[in-house]
Amino acid sequence: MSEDKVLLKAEDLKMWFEVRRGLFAEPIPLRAVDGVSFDLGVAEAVSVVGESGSGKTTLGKTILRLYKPTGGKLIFKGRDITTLDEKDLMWYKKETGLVQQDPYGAMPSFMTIYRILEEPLIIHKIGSKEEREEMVFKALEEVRLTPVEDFAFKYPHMLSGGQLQRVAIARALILRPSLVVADEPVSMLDASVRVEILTLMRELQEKRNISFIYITHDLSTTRYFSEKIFIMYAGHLIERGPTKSVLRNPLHPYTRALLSAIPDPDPENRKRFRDVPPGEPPSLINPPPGCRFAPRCPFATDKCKREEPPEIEVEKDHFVKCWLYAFWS
Amino acid sequence: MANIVLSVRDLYLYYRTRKGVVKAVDKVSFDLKRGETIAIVGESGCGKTSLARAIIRLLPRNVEKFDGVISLNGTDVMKMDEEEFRKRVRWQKISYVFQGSQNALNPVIKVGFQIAEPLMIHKGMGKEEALAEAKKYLRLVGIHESFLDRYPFELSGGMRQRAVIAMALVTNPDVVILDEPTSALDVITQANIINLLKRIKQEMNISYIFITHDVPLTSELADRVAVMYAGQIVELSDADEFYVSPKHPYSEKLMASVPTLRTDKKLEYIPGTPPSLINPPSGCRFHPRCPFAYERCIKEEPPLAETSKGSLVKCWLVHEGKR
Amino acid sequence: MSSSRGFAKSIINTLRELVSYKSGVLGLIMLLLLVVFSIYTIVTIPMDRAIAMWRGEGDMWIENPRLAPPEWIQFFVGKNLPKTMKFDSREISLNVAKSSAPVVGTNMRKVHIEFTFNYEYDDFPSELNMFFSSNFSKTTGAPIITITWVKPSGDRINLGDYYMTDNKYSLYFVIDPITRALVSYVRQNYGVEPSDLITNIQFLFGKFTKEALQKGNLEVEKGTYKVIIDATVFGNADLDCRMIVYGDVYGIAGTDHLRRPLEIALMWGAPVALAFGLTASLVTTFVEMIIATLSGYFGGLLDNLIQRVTEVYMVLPFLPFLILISVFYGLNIWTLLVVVIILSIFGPGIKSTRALVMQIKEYPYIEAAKAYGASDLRIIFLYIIPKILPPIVPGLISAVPGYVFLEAALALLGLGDPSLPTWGKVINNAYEQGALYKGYYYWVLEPSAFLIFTGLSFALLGFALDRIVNPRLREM
Repeated sequence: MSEDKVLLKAEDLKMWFEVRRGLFAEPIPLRAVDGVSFDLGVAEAVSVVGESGSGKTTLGKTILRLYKPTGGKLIFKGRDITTLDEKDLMWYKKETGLVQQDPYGAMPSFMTIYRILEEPLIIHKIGSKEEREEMVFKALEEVRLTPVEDFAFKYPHMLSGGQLQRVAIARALILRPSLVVADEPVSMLDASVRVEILTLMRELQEKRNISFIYITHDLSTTRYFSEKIFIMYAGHLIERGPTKSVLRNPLHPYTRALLSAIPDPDPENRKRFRDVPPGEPPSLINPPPGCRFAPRCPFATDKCKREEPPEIEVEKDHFVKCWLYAFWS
Repeated sequence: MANIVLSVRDLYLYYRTRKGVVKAVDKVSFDLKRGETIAIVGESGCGKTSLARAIIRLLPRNVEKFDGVISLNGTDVMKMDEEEFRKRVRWQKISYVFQGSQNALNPVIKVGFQIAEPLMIHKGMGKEEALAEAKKYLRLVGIHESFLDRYPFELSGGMRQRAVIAMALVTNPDVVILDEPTSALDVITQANIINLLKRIKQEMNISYIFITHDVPLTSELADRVAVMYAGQIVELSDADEFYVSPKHPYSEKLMASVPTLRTDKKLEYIPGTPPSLINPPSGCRFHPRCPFAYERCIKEEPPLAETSKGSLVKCWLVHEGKR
Repeated sequence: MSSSRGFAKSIINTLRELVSYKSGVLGLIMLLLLVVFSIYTIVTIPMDRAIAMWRGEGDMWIENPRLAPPEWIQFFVGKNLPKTMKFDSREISLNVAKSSAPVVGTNMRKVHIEFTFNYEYDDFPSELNMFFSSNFSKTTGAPIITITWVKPSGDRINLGDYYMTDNKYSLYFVIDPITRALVSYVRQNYGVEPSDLITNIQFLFGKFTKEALQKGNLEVEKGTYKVIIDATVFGNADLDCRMIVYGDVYGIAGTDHLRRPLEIALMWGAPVALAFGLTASLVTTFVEMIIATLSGYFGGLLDNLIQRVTEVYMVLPFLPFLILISVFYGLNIWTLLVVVIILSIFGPGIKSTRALVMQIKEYPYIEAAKAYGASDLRIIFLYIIPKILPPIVPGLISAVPGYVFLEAALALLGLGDPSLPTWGKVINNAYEQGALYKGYYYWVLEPSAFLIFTGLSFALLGFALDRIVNPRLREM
């Protein structure tokens, strides 16, 4: 991707946490994000797919600099933001937005919707009181919470999950960011509401030319939402590429397993068993050497168990981290 | 009719709350054959968990109305008092797999003992004998027998859910109610658990009542599908019919709102807000959100009537042959 | 925009919910009574007056009976108990007669005062005193007073001659000369040796029978009594007499050993208790909340430090410290308040609040605030504290009685503010005077009842508030 179209660049990004097993034990690292590299373009929507414990949520938070990376580099609009301190990051907080999984937990229960939306503006000293009022009302309109006067002075517990998630989206967008991270934004919502919210996010993303990182464990929603997919497993980005490519031609055995594990509504499903690998994702504290999926992989070789595979481009922009494709490079 | 293991007729469960009476289960009826799986699918607040709780009679304190006929192998268990139900029905004939294994497992008691406990309580087995049975079931659900002496926190999420399934199966019940049995699990672990449930269904000929909001997942186990909306069953069809062409407008919209991996389709969403269970809409409860609703739908509640294909649908349009 | 409107609304909602609980209604009513009572007290008896009255300068309370229970006690006892009667020669009435005439040929005058009254009570008076005032000059000479006691039975007893030693002279009828006069009268006129057990008052007001006099169990003689005072004054001096026949009971609350009406202390105890308890509790809770929040939010070294300090505080004996400080430095009520607060701010409340803060710190909305750039301080004060405030309030209310009792306990031990009339002080006086041994139960029971009432009102309120705030304790 040409440099001026790159919004965010991650180079071997690492986010390790110190975990203490006992009172006097040595702290050992939990390697939530263990060497992730990617490019994110301007106005590009990417789905980061992984199961719980894959590190996808930590990746999202590290990108927002809610954590300080323990290794590697994070470059935003050409600026290295890896080691910046809190006080030097206020401009970055204006450039980014966050939508979280739990709509009720994400809102302070004692503030009105108006106040919740006003907060980011107040913190960044944007506008006068009247100007902020206009901005808040416009934000509510944009997420289709109308009539705005009705919603503005309600408290979070008076709204449904779907409505609150719209407020969360409005809040994430009110500072006019270039990048939004949405962490499982619809997994706590009802099925019939999910599509509505995802559609709204997609519309706003396209209209405002915002880059979106959509974190999810639900592969089925990715093709409706993003141009690119990143597949995460045990802290590694094991496959990435255009959504269509990855879904049509999954390269990594894990991606294949994911796809075969997800049912579509088909009455024949009950008559057959699914071909999925056994076991569960490894602990991030003591990951196995070599490829992290090797213990469960039906195609694992000795090399897979010893050495970590490099990233290999198999088709255009479609990368995979797997020894099975070693001869491609 | 001899192979109908569970028959529910006109089941009511209302709760008393500060804001009014919640009509969680409002005149629900269905049959379950031996070895058959019926899926109860609906969104949060439609009453499906209340229905499950009603069948196994795990009720909270604020029950306003609990009525109807629940026949188990021909016997009306609603007539039993609490003590008799506990001894003879709950966990003997009907057991329950809870959503989220942490809700079912006692963190300070060893796993083996917890699986053995229903045998000691309901079948009066001694400790040694019960633990030996428990070992058998651990093997059945794919947990190594060394885990008999471990505590729940030592097991992974998937293994905990398997243990909970073992706990539900250990008394060899006729019916197992699965309440969102895989919601907290990874997709691959979920597939493994579903494989397990399929195997058990085949080997033990158990009837499942599979409750979930995840429509595609129901197709993994369901022989028949019941769609719940606002405390009522609005459609009850065979799986072969349902996934291909759902009859009720709500079922149809629900299917249309679910993203699929393998087919390209335009996603739709259902406008409006979910109905209140305290003050449900008049007539057909779906009418405020139904694109096909006309005056009869607003005024009169349609019956759950049988269509030519053998499905039961609660809709005037279907009843009058307009769909 | 509407957070203050919302705050007011939430208070109204809470009140509405409060009255749905019986304990809440009761607690609220009791608290309201206390507050109204306190306001009334402060308005009618301003603080400096109360302190002055309690100090009892000079003879402020001399006309009150000593250690008298409240008047309403007679309903329980069943007798018609004597109330204090006052006679003053300056106020001529049916009961009081005064005349004076010069003695011809001398510079002397004879002043004649007569007090007449009906005694219908079922019990003896507690005391009898006479207060003479005369404007004589020392050079001309002090007046000589002769007192004659006339009983309904007709007995006329000469109680002796007395010299006024000063312009104001008090004659207490318990003194020996009067005793001697009474005993010798009985010997002479009844021919018996009266028992040692008979007090002067019993002689003066008792029915004389040989048997009763010997045994010492005289009955009260009801009827008309006359007290005759004949005084000889010199020069142009005048003489007045004020006779107080002290009742057994006094007022609505009784009196203490210094004749002070207990109602003053009982009334003033209320605003003191409320102010002390509420202030101590409010300030302590508020400071504790901030400390706990800083500790829980920032963690690390600060958290460690604060927690260790708190633990040391919790182990140290609070009351002995307080006693030490009070003994060495003396305390008035305001200093006591400050010291109590300082000794309480690192209390156990910090542990539970900190646990709450550590939980809330992990909530998604805190993370969201960090994502849009909220500073730590902003998060603490605008995001965390409003969330932890509701669960803290019941604790705040429930802690008030503890501080009220603390102040009372200190006063009881004699370490409180010595000048302020409080409930604790009354119990302290009662304890020092051995009230319970001597049967002056009202002296202890009255302040205790007020303390219990106050404690109960806050406890009930706190209990109801706890039910509201803590949803798990709610009834369905």
